[in-house]
Amino acid sequence: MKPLNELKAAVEQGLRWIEKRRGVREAEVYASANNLAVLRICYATNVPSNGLEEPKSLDDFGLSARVVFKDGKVGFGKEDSALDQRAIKNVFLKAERNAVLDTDFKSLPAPAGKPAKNLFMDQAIAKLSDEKAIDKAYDCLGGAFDALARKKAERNLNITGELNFLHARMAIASTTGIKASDESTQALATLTTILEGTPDLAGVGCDSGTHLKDLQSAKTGQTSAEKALAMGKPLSIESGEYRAVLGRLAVTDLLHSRFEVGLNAIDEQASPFVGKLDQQLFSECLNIRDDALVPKAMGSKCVTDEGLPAGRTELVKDGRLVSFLGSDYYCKKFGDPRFRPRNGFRSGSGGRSYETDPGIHGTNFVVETGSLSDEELIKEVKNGIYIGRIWYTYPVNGLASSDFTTTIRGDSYVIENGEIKAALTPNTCRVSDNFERIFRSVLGLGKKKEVAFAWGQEPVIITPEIAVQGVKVERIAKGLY
Amino acid sequence: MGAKIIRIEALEPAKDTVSKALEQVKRRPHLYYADVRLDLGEGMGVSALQGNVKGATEDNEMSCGVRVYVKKEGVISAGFMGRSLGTLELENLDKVLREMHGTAYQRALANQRHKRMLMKKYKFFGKSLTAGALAPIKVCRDTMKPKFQTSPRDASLEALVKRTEDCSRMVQNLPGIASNSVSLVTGLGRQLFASTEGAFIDDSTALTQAFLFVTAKGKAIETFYEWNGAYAGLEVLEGENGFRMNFEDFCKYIAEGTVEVSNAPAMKTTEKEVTVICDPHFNALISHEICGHPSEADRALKREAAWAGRAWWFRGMDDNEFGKQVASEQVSVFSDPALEGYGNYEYDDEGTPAKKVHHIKDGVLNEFLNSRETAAILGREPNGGMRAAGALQVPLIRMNNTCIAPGEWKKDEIFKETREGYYAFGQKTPSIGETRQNFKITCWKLYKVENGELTQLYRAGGLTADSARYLKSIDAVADDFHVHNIPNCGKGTPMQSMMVGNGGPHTRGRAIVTGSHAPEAGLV
Repeated sequence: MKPLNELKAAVEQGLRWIEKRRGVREAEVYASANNLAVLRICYATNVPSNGLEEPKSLDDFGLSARVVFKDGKVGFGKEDSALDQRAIKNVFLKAERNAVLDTDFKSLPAPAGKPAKNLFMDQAIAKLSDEKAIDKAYDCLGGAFDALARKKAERNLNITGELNFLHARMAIASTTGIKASDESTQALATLTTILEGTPDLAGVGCDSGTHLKDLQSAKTGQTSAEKALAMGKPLSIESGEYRAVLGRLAVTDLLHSRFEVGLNAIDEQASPFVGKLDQQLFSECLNIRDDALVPKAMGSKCVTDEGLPAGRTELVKDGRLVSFLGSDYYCKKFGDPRFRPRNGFRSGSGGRSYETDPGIHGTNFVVETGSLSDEELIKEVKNGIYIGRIWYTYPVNGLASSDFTTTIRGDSYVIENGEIKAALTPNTCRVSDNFERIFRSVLGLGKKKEVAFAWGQEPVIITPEIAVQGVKVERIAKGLY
Repeated sequence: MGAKIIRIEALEPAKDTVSKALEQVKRRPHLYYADVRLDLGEGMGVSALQGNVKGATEDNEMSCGVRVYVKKEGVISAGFMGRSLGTLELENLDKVLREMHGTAYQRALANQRHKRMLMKKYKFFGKSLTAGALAPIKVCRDTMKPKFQTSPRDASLEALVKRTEDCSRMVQNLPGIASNSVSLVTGLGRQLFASTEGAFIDDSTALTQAFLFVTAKGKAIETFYEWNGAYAGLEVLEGENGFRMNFEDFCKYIAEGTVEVSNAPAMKTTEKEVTVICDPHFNALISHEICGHPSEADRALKREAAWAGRAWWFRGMDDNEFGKQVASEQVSVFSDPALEGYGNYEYDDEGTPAKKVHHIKDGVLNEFLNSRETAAILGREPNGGMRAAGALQVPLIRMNNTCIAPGEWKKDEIFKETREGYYAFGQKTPSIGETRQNFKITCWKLYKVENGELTQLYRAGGLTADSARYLKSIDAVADDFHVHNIPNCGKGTPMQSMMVGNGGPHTRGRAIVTGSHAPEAGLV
């Protein structure tokens, strides 16, 4: 992988060359390098499986530039897998050819303070060998096997999941004085154990962080199996509205689905929160922020991909929507001092992408804790359900609506008289409800927040469990599960 | 002098390099199989928001992916490496391929070693770990040229910028439109595939596609988006597409239709199942979500359970619905890569000649889309279902043109015979249960049907049902047939967005018709 020094040298050299070209008013040169290792676990007892699918990696590096010309046009050009003078020249020529007059564009970002100290980079991940990565993946599966063997599980098994290791570097320099670089690492492990039958029993284990030593892959596997085993004899419920505790994965999916708070979405009117700034939309106990500086959280970064310090943005304060996420471009377009450019990132499938100009992306969404223990949340609900994991949570009635639908997939329970009575049969409930409606009626927040994440989604969510007044449930798949 | 764009012809000298690299790989100890894909795309893209251009690009992208399988002590395991490539690397391709093959090979060996250790340590659990053999295929060498009437290279970036901006401005000025974003892409792509078995496929395609996202503000705010594209050249922008409309007319049609919807009352969910007629466009999501996805063999064989889910109709090798009724006798579903659509191709990313596959025949579950490995497990012939969204990604089993087959009814007859019901027109958003056992899919427009006539338009409408129950309820399938192109089917880790074709004819069945979720809270 390209060293950070080479990326820094390339952007500085690139900037020195580009700023001297005729017609250039401003310029910004960006370089990145990424390595993503993915290990997919797949095991079943009643169909042949591989244990670990092909260990794989995606690697890329390259250079790009945004150039503002004296005629007001702005152009973007990129070059793959090159950082040399030829790449710099090509990047500029492409930006020149691609330049368009975007009347919303004001100027490139200017420096705005120093970034925080980088706590999100781990040499152990950066130098992780294939052998060790594969070892950890098999450890994860082995953790599930150990738990299952101890309890002598007799059902057919289906165990799937993955480990990911990401190392991302970036450097940026501009004529406005921006000169920044950043490097970060991520590790995650997730495993789903299903004991198949009528009904299935399913449990999930997840772990993540920025440092390898914090990743407990065997424990992740063990947890997923233990949760599945603990389901016992599940019950099904009928359609109705239920008081509920939303587990962390459920909160994660709901936030990913409907908490669209980027200024780009507001601009396109593709958010339920257009025109709702400063409104009391949620229960007073709810506080949510985007925080790029959370230690050990996978979404953490020191520097945005516009070269500005990453930081913290309060989004919901005491239930009131107080801000949106912004990039430099959108903050200038909106011109509202409440919006700060802390979320201009160039997100690709593996890390930071030189291939694109900055969009708006969350880092870590933190839901602040309350005062209730997990057991007290259950007591608060008294009679209802605990929703652990939901599936395919989508805004079926359009992006301007808070409506969503999802199905309850596993790790869920029936609550009776303030206690867990039994597991809830997986895949027998659809929830069709409304994000704002649900979070207007929060009964209580847990006192312990933990990191959660979802397949193919950002940002990372750090949240307690949340008890709510009601979710609308439809009974599905009668006769099948 | 302008920026240098690498054209797809630049891959011509690479053909020899790729073949030679595989010859070297074959000599590695314990090698079972290896392949390499190298792709190069060139093209242009423009986007505009609310009548103002946002960006334009003319560029190329190149990437490479290498799969290696080793077989040692009876156990087969794989390794993969993918990466993007630049110009210099094309000039040093032999070195790049050597390194990539080496890495993928070492990964395969490490994987095999650990798999053997796991099988020894956990004897009970290790029994079902497979040897991983690949079913044999006819080894082919073939070249396909891109199909177009007007080459994407004939476009000028300046002209596309103007056209996109003008179109966005036109849409923005339509009454009731609050916001719109429009984009256009056009280009050519070429992929070389080669394997240690001697296969060599050189496949080039053209692609042109328009996209519109629109927010309408009538009595309520309504958002909608739609694509209109084809594996073709600039003629797509002049009406040679699934909508049979030129670029501007397509955008106007979608925008005005969405304004109409925004002024319609919100649907209230029906208490019981009702008769529903679905148009081919809505049925694109039915064929995609509850027929196509559970017909992907890797999903059925539970390899996707953690991310994309399983398939309710396959629980095990001896416990499944093959040969059993899963839909009404009127329903047949197939995947046909020979049809025009985003699922059109001749060979998949394992070099397997792609075949038409009948998933459901007269209501009976028949066959899945497969890969060479899953074909071997299921005891079937490989049918060419493996595709990757780019050479640097691992191929997965993907739908191609997966559709409900036309029936014998006339569309007008279906309406005439429907005394009361609803009509789901156009597709919006799906949500499906983990095993595809249940669905909720919303439509662009929902109409009440009374005595065969459309009487009332609703917004926030859709259908929900248990999949088997719905498929068995279908009592009329029309003889009209339409494939709709969907460019963003997500699967895999890292996520791959694949282009597929889906659709079918008009159908009639029974489901609960859904509406807005929180009307009592004023959140409609």
